[in-house]
Amino acid sequence: MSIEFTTDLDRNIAALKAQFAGDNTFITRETRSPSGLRCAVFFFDGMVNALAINQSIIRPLIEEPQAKLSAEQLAQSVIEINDSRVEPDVNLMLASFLYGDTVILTEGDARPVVVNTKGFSSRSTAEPEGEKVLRGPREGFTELFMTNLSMLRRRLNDPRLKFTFSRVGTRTNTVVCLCYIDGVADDRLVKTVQKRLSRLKPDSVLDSNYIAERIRDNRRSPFPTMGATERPDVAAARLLEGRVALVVDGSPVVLTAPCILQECFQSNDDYYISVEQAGLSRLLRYAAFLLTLTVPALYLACVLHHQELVPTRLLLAISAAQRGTPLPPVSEIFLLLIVFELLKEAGTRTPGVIGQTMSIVGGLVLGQAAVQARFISAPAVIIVAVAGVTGLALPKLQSATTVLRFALTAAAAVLGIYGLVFGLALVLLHLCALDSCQAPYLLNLLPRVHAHHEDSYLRAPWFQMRRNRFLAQKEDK
Amino acid sequence: MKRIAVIIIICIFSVLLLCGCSAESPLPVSAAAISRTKEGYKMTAELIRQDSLDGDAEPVYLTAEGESLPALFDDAVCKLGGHFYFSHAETVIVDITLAREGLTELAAFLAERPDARLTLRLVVARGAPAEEILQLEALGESIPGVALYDLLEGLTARGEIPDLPLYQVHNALQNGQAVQLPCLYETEDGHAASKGLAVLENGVLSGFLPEEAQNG
Amino acid sequence: MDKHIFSRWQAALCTLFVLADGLYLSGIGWLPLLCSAVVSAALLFVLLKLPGKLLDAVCAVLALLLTLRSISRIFFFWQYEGTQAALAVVLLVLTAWLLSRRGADCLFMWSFPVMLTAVVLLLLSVAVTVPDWNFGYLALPAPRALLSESARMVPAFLAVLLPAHLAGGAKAPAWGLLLGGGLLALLSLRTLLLLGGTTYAYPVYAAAGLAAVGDFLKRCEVVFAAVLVLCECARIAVCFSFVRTCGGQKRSAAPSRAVQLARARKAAGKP
Repeated sequence: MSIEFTTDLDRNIAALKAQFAGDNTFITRETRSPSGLRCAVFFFDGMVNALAINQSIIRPLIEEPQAKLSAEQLAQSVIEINDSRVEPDVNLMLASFLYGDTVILTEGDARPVVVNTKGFSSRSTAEPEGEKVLRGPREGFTELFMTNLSMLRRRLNDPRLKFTFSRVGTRTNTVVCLCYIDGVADDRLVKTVQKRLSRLKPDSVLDSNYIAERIRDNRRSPFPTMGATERPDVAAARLLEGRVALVVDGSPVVLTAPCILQECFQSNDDYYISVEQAGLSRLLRYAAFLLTLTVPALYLACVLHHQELVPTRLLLAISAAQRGTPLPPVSEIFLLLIVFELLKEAGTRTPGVIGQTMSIVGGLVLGQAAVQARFISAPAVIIVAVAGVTGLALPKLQSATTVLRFALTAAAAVLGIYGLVFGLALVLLHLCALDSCQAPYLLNLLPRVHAHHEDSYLRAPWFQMRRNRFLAQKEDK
Repeated sequence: MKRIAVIIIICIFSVLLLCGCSAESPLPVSAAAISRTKEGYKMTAELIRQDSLDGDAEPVYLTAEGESLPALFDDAVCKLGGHFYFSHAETVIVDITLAREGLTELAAFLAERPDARLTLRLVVARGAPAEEILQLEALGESIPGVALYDLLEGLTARGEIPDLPLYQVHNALQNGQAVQLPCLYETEDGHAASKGLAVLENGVLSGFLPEEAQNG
Repeated sequence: MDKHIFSRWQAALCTLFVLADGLYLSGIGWLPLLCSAVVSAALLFVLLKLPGKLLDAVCAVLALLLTLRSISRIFFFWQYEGTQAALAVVLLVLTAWLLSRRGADCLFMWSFPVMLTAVVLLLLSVAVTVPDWNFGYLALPAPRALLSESARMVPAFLAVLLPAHLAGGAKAPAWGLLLGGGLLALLSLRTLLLLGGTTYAYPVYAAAGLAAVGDFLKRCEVVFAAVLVLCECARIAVCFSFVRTCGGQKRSAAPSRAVQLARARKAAGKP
């Protein structure tokens, strides 16, 4: 956009109107005071606080006794709004203007005054659906950028909490804020993330995932190497641990980096409930991870390759259930895994009650009917159900578990337990090779890569947490 | 990315195609009776079949013959179209003729077979052919072979017969030690029961120990 | 040599390397196994003092021979037929190649959790069979037989030179060798106490099949074998890794972030 303002107000009004021709939300309000001061107020309908404009901008302009004022005088002495400034850079002026600020031009001065009058509506800071807790704070990030930052600031009442803004997206010009606690976050980490952000040249950023997928390490890996949360308490905790957070305007999902595997086994509840309960839950999640990956693979390995492992009676039961069904066990398992993913996808996309109903119809009724009709065998349904349900215990690893479950099942189908072991060995190797913003992915889980002994496999009670910042380069004084 | 996705899909479909062919409903062998014939060996294997989850399992008997022990098992494999699942067999009954000829070869053969359990039990049929003992009706169990194994396990647990699984028998026979194997006979009401011990010296049946002797 | 590989990781990979022989042991050599492990651990220090080029040449030949030996012996162990035999070997080699291509430090890092899992599973398998042990089978070899058998086993253990050279240390590999040798001796002893002196094609594997927990966990020898097959895979990966380094490629990838972080923390005096 190229607009060049002059000291002629009429020409400036015409230039701006030409720029936004065809946009019915673009409002121009010209004012003339009894003393003869001529000004023009520009704003977008629906994005501004109309009351503030009426009472704190237009009224003072109309009642102004002087006939001529400079932009500085206007911003400093006339406008009755806390955040008003002279903005000679047209691009910055336009960015603010497009984001709900009001622009004021006056006769005889080419520099616009930008006044913060943002007033668009937003949803409430309700608890995020995907990150509910039994106990603890129930506030969630919203799509409002400044509100999100304020939620962080409110929790981290520390002057060293830094918010560094940058803009990404040639068309959307989205504001991205890099948050970190100076002295707690590793300087190299901050520089790394800043460098990655500065290299971004997307045309649009409508959600934080647009950025996450571009700046995360090992972009082909199914494991998440960039953390994401919708909860301000979680984001604040991660900042305290020495991570950095990226708040993207328009997205309620805040990115955090680095993201390590241990994080995927943590739940928000872990730190708000009793240590015993938290430990047990975390152990269950580790077990769930192993089960969801290996149960279908173990079933196929036993049924196809190592029948001697299965007790005779159980083998007979499986064999009896299999008799009369049209598909071999491998096809059954793969088909059911796909159907399960379909049901999950449909359930996620379907709103509220319909989604629940569909899950019940799909999961229970269809499954039962399919078994009775001898279309599939009951053990296969049980196996896939166990794998699917245990997978739901780890929402952050869902994409990884889904992909790896298929791969490991295929490996076990070909070579039995040997195939499964080879597959698991390669998964472990992949994890060993993963990094997230200079932090090893197995940090805290693999011996010798411990940084925080109080919160590794299980968390210690709060009274034993001496060093809270497990990624921090420097100890917080 | 697209290329990787295509490769993964092709791999999964290949697996489906490859493994679909090997899908089969096994009929596991629960027990077998082996006897000596003029031509060589004869084996009656008890296979367990269960057609539905609601129905009971029922025994099916398969008879195989061969000039040697490997030929005997090959014949069984052939008769079942390659699906002879011996890995669940817990008991092998041998007849007196075979025991008199010697069990060293049989024990070694079974111990070396990758599908045979090293914990399976060798017993000697007394007073009736081994295959008849195997097929006798069992009390409280629909599969006679399984009932025989339960019977032997119970007696072993009570110390009434020596605990000698296949690997120990094989070891003893290899070292030329005497072995005492439990004997099975047919009771008057047509069930199988254990009575006495068959004594093998140098791998050959040398006599029986009466029931009184083993208790004392 | 890569200096960014922690000693514990070195010991772990060397343990896995040694454990790869686990499937092919006899039941009678438990004491010679222990003796030869100790002797080999001592000899390792001497061998690593060989001139660089000579050591490289020795290790290159060793890598080639060990790869061929590992593949052939596992092929015969699996007893697969037709397509499945080829597929199994291809998968084994592919896994080993993938393990090797991430760089030596990653392979060493990977080996630590694998070693822990392998040791736990093997010890569990041994523990479950303890009630069936027959100490009547326990026999000590005559001194002369002990000596000759130990001497025969030393060269097999000295193959650990390969991961030791790759890691660039001797102390940790020696500990790994001792741990691996100790475990092999334990497996061999278990086999002896269960099966006596009877000959089997794979006695250690056969003995593992006697482990049973109730009616459910019977004939778990395949799980036991899978652990040792993975050790074999790690051994082939070490050979591949060495061949890659000899072939002019970088000895290892740049030290991983894990290594960098741990070193930074060590330098800062933190645990």
